[in-house]
Amino acid sequence: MNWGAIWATAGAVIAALLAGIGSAIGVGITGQASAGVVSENPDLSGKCLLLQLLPGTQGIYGLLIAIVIMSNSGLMGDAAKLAALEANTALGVRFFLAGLPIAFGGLLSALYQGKVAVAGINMVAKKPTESGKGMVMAIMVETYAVLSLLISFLLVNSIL
Amino acid sequence: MIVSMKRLSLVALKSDQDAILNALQEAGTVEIIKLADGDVQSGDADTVNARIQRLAESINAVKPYAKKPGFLSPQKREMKLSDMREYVPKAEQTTNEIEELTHTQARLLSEREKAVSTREALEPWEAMTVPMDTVKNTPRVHYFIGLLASKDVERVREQEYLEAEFMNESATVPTILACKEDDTRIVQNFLKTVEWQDYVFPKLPGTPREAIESLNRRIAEIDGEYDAAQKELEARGETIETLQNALDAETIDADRLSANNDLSYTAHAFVLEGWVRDDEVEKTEQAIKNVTEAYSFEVRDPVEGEEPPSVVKNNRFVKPFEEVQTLYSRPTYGTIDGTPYMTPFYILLFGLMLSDTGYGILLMLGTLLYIKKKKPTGMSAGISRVLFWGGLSTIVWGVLCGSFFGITKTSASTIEVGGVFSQISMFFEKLGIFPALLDPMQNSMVMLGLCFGLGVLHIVAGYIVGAIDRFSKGDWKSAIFDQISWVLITLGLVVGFLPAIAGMAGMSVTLPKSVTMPALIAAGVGALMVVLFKGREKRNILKRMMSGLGGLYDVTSVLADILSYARLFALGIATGVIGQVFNMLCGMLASASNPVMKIVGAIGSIVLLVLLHTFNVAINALGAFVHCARLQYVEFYGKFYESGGKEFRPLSYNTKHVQVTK
Repeated sequence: MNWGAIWATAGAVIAALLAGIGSAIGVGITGQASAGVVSENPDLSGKCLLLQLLPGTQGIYGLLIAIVIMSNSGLMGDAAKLAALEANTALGVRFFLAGLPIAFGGLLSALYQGKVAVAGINMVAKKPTESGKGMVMAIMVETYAVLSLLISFLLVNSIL
Repeated sequence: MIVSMKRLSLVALKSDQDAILNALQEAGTVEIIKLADGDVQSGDADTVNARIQRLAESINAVKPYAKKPGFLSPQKREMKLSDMREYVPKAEQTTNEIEELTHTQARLLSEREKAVSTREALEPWEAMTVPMDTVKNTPRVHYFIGLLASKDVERVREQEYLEAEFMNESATVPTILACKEDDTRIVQNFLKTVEWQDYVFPKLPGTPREAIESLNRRIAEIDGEYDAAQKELEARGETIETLQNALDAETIDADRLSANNDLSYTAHAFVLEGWVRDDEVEKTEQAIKNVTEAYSFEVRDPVEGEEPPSVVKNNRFVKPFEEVQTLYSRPTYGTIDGTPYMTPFYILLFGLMLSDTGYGILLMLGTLLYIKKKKPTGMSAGISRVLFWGGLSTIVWGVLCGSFFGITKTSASTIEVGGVFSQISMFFEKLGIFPALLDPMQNSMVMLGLCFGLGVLHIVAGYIVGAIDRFSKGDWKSAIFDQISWVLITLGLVVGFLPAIAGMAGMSVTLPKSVTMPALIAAGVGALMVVLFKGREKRNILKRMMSGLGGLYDVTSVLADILSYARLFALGIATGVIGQVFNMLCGMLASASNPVMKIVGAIGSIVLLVLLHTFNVAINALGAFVHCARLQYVEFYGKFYESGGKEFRPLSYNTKHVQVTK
């Protein structure tokens, strides 16, 4: 068993998987709220779409970390790196741990950002001119996904 | 800069009222303050508002059938007000027609629904061979018509005083029962013991089957009529411009008419109170002078207790950024407008979050095209210009960090699309400017440090703006003890501990003691100022010190503010790495060994590259816009800005579809 490669793969998987789930739920609930508002007032679809997009970024961050893990660990076909990984289980575990911040940070921040964005969409329904404030409220939650992304990225980059 | 406002009192003759309000609305300079208690409600405004409501509904009804405006056609058409008014009678007629059509459709729909449900209820009775109206009570015989559960069929058969006919053998059997008039009560009681549901035949001639056929014919007829009405409605799609022009003309009138309710009146004169911008007082008076000579026009400064609306004025370059500020909140009247101070930082930080020359070019060209062709007004006009300058900054940061559509010096050598990427990369190498500063992927800690450095600059600038504002108001104590002290603390700590901080990040920065010592001393002086003077209004020395020490605790929030700038770096790599990933995926697609697949892959990858990079620039520009805005609102404005100003809403041409020209 090549535990090094398995751990590294698990790191890429958990980053893309959990952050992706979070974004899927976040974008899903905001999409439902948008549809409700747009059915009453189709002119607001643009503003609702912008709010709906916001919880989608975590999935992209997860994808990003997954790909950086795959490329840095040699899973994408760099034979020398892969050999080093297979010879050293600890290296693989480090890749796995590096994937955790964006996995959980992304999952939970996307969930809550989605809820805030839903509230923002309801606000747009009542006061269309205030959509900017709704976006700023949602972006406050995103901060922590960005910080998770940063730490995951720095950790992955620190493994050579 | 916040524009100073004047309180206007205008008295003029009632006979000139309409003309004066017209002139003021055209000038668009006066926000009228409500004076009367609203008991002089004029009926005119109500009727106009009702017409507006109907016009808006008609527009919504025909909107799906109207020609869509071109993607790049201007947001509003230009037209004179008098020309707009000419559309009103025609629009009135069209509105009537559209309402008639939509009413007809609603009536047809409900009739159809009724017919369908009657038919569905009749369908079980199809087997009945006699006309429905023959089944009715006579003096001797009583009929029961209804649906019987199939399990009870046998029990009904067993009753000797009943004559039963079952129409079919489904779960609920359509049944007609007949009995002698005298047995009616017995049968009714019996039916309570079985599962029986009464049914009444619809008042239609013939057998159920004939009735169903006639209903089907009627439904087909209704469908035909509905389609005809629909065609008529679709043909009205081309009238949408007429309706929109009329709507805007009526809205202008409604705004002016409702302003009548805000005035107060004497027998022959009216009084108008309102707010005017200081720099528009003359324009306003001129507008009235053009109408009449008989008026009294007085302006004065706002007094204590009045809350004038808050308007900011800036040069052409800074003006678009007012929209970013308005998204947060207008400044309180009499405080400071943050826009000119925020603008350079906004541009600087926005670019860093995208930092890709290719994306910057895309953003600049895109917004330029939008501004030139679409001629946006209001908020989208501001935002598109903000993005334009952000695009320029993105180009510059792209050169500094060495990225062009995700192609960097390091990425191009490993990933290929037909040799193009390495060509581009080599071209940049020859130019020797890519990256001009540093590659964030290679030197991530240096880049992170740069982001924090910009953050320190931004935060200190916020304190300094606050200090200048307070000095100019004569509040030197607050300027020095609440603002300058924090400049000293922040800068002092950062400079003093720079070697140590850099050491933690694995870099060696050496500063001579002659620099770090004074910096730390400055920080100490700042801290001392906070401890001693934060609670300067408190007499009790102990309470004063406590409040000062509590104030010093704010150093943690300054630290959190600085760390918040890590997002600059994180969003920058997010854009860059996603761009690289897209290039890599398309590179794989184009690298098949089979020559046919290679051509297919190359074409596919080019299409994909365009789509994916457009997606990437769109989503990351949105992210950069809001994250950059947040850095201004929380980290920068938190140091000096007083939010909560009231919007200035002058009586003016407030239109949706038409830009009114003279």
